[in-house]
Amino acid sequence: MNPQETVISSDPRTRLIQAFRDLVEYRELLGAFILRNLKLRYKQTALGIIWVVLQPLITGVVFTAIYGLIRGSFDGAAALLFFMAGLAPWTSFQQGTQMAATSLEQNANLIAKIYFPRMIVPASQVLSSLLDFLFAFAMLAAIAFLAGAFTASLLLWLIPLLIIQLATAVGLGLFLSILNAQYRDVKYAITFVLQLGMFITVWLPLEAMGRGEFHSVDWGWAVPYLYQVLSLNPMAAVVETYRAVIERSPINSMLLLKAAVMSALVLFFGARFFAARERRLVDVL
Amino acid sequence: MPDNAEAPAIVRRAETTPGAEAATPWAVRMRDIGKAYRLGETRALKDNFREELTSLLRRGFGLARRGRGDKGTFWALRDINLEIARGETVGIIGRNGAGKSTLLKILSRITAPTTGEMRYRGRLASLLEVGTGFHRELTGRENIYLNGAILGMRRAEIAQQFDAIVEFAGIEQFLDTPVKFYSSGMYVRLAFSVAAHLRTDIMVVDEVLAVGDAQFQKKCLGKMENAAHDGRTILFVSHNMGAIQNLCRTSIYLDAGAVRAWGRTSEVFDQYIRDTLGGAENGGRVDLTIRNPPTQGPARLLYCELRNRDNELTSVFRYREPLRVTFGLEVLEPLPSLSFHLGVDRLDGTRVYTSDSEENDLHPGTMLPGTYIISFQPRGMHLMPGDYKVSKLMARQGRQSLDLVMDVTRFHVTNVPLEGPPPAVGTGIICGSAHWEVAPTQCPAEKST
Repeated sequence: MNPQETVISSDPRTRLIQAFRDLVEYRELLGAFILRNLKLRYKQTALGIIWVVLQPLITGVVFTAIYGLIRGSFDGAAALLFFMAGLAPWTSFQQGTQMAATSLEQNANLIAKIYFPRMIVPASQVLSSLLDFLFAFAMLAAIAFLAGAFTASLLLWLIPLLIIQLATAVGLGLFLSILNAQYRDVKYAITFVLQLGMFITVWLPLEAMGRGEFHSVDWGWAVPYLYQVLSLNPMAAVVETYRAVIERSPINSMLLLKAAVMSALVLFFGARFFAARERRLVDVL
Repeated sequence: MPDNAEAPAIVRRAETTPGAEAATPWAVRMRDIGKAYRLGETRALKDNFREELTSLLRRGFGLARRGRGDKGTFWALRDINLEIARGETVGIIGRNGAGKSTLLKILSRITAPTTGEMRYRGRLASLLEVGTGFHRELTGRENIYLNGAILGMRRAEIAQQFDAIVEFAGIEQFLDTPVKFYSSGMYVRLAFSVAAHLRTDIMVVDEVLAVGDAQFQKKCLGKMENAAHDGRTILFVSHNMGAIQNLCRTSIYLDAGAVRAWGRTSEVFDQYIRDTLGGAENGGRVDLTIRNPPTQGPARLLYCELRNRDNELTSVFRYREPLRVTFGLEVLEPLPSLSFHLGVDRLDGTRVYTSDSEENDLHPGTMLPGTYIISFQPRGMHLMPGDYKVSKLMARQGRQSLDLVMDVTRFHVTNVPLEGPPPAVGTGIICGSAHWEVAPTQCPAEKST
C-alpha cells in the first residue's frame, strides 16, 4: 500500500544501484532526450542528415588520396575501404563522446532546476550519435558492395561491435562530462585527444603490427609494446574487426576479447565515477 | 526532535502537527540534514585538481573523497529535522539567505545534503521555475512531451492529459509552431499548463507564482489548491505571504540555516514578523548613506525617519495614529523642479499607497546645494493593525530618478487605538475616515407620538 520510499543520504559512498533504479524509472526521459537531440541537431540545416554521410566520406576520400600520393601506385578501392572501415565507427564515436563531454555544461540551467538522473544527459548524447553511425555504416556497406567486398557477415558483426562502441562511448562520456562540469579543461583537451585518436585508429594497421610485420623497420623493436598499448583501445578492435570482415581475413579474437573487457570496464568505472560525483554536480557546475 | 543546541530560538509547534503525524504517515522526513558550501571554491580549484588526481590514483576511481575540514566552509543549513505528513501543504518562509533555496534544492534532489538523511514516499516533482526544459527550437507539441518527461511524467500520462494541457494554455492553433515564435504570455501559459497537470505524490513549488500577471497568478493558486485537495503533499516556498497564508495550514520558518519555528501558519508568521521587526529595531530611523553600491547622482537621500503624533521617533504606531515620514536629502548642485515619491507596502508585498509630492502641489523651486528635510504625512487615511514597510523612497527630476531606495524601513500598527474604540472589523488594509449619513426615504409618520 505504501508508495515506494526513496532515501537521499549524505553518505558519500557510491550508490550505483540507486542510480540504476532511477535510470529505469526515468527511461522514457532518455528517449525524450535522444529525440530532442536528433531534432535539434539538424534543424535549420539545408543538407540535414546528409552531413552525417558527407563528413566521413570526404575524409576517407582525402585520406585515400594522400595515401596514394605517398605510395605512388595502389589499390584505390581497398585503401578507401580501409579508411572508411575506420572512419565510419570512429566519426560517430568521436561525435558522441565529444557531445557527451560538454552535455552537462550545456544543460546547466536545466540541471540546476529539476532533478532527473543526470546520467541521462551524456548517455542520450552518445545514443543519438547511433543514428549517425547507422548512416555511416550503410555507406560503408554500399562502398563494400560496389567494390565487390560486401559479405553478409558484415551485418552479423554489426551488433557486437556496436555494443562495444556504445559501451566505450557511454563510459567515457559519463567520465568526461562530470569531470568537465568542474574542470573546463576537459572540453579543450578532449577535442585534441579525440582527433589524435582518430589518426592513430584510422591510419595505423594494428592487425599487421600484432603479426609482427614491422621487424625490419628501424624502430621495429618498439612495435610489440606499441601494439600492447594501442590494443587497449576498444575502438581499435572495433575498427580492425570491420576491416578483417571486409578483407575476409581471420578475426583477431584475442583483440576483440580485450576490447569487450575494456569497454565493460570503461562503462562500469565511468558510471561509478559519475554516480560518486553526481551529488556535488550542482554545486560545482 | 527539531530542537538543537545551535538554533538560538524556540522551535514551536502547533498541537495539530504532532497529532497529524500520529494519524497520517509522513511523506517527507528529514533527519539532521545539513549542507555546507566551501568558501572560495574557485580559488582553490587548481590545488584541488592535483590533490584530486593524487587521491584518485591512490584510491581508485570513485573512492576519492575530500577531507571535510571546517575551515572555510559555510553551513547554509544545519541540523534540519522535519516530518511532513502526507496530504499536508506546508509553507516555507524566511529572509533571503536563510536557507530556503538550499532546503528546496535538497528536497527536490537537485543537490545532496552534506550531513543527514532525507526520505520521501512516492513520486516527487519540483517546480522551481516555470518553463525550464523548454527548448526554443521545438514546437509546442514537442515541448509538451519533452517537458512532461523532464518533470517525471510517463508518455502515456502526457498523452492522456495532452488535450487538457493544450486547452488550459489556450494555444491550440500554435501547437506545431516552434515556441521561439510564441509571445511570452503564451510561453508561460504553456509551461505552467504542463506543470499543472503533473500528477505526483509530492510537489515542491518555488516562486512559480511570481511570474505572469495577477490573473495568471490567481489561476496558479487555484491549481495548487486543487492539488492540495487531491491529498497530495505540497511544499511551497514563496515571498508572497498572502499566498502561503491562504494555502498552507502549517509553515516552517527558517532563519540562518536552522528551523526557527514550525507549526500553524498564523503562529509561525507572528514569530517571523516579531523577528523581522526586531531585526529592524532602529527606533524609526534608518541611515541611507551606507549603501551598496553608493549613489552617485547630484541628490542623495540621507536618512528616513518615522515619527508619531508627539513627533517621537518610533516604528510602532497605534491604530488611527497619524504617521509622519521625514527624510533627509543632500543636494550637490542646483537642481530645479525636484519631486519626491513614496510607497508603503503591507509586509506581504501588497502596495498600500503611493504618494507623489508634485501631485500634492509641492514645488520647491530650484534647490541649491545643501541638505534638506522633507516631510510626508498622509491625511485621513489610517492603516489597519498589521505590519507595513516604507517600500520605496525616490527623489526624481521629471522622469529621471536621482536617488531611489527600496525596502526602506518597516513599521507596525497595533490594534490599540489612539483614542476611541478599537477597530471594529479586523480585515482590510485601510480604514478611511468618511462621511456617513442616514437619510429617510420613506418613513413611518411620527404622528403616533
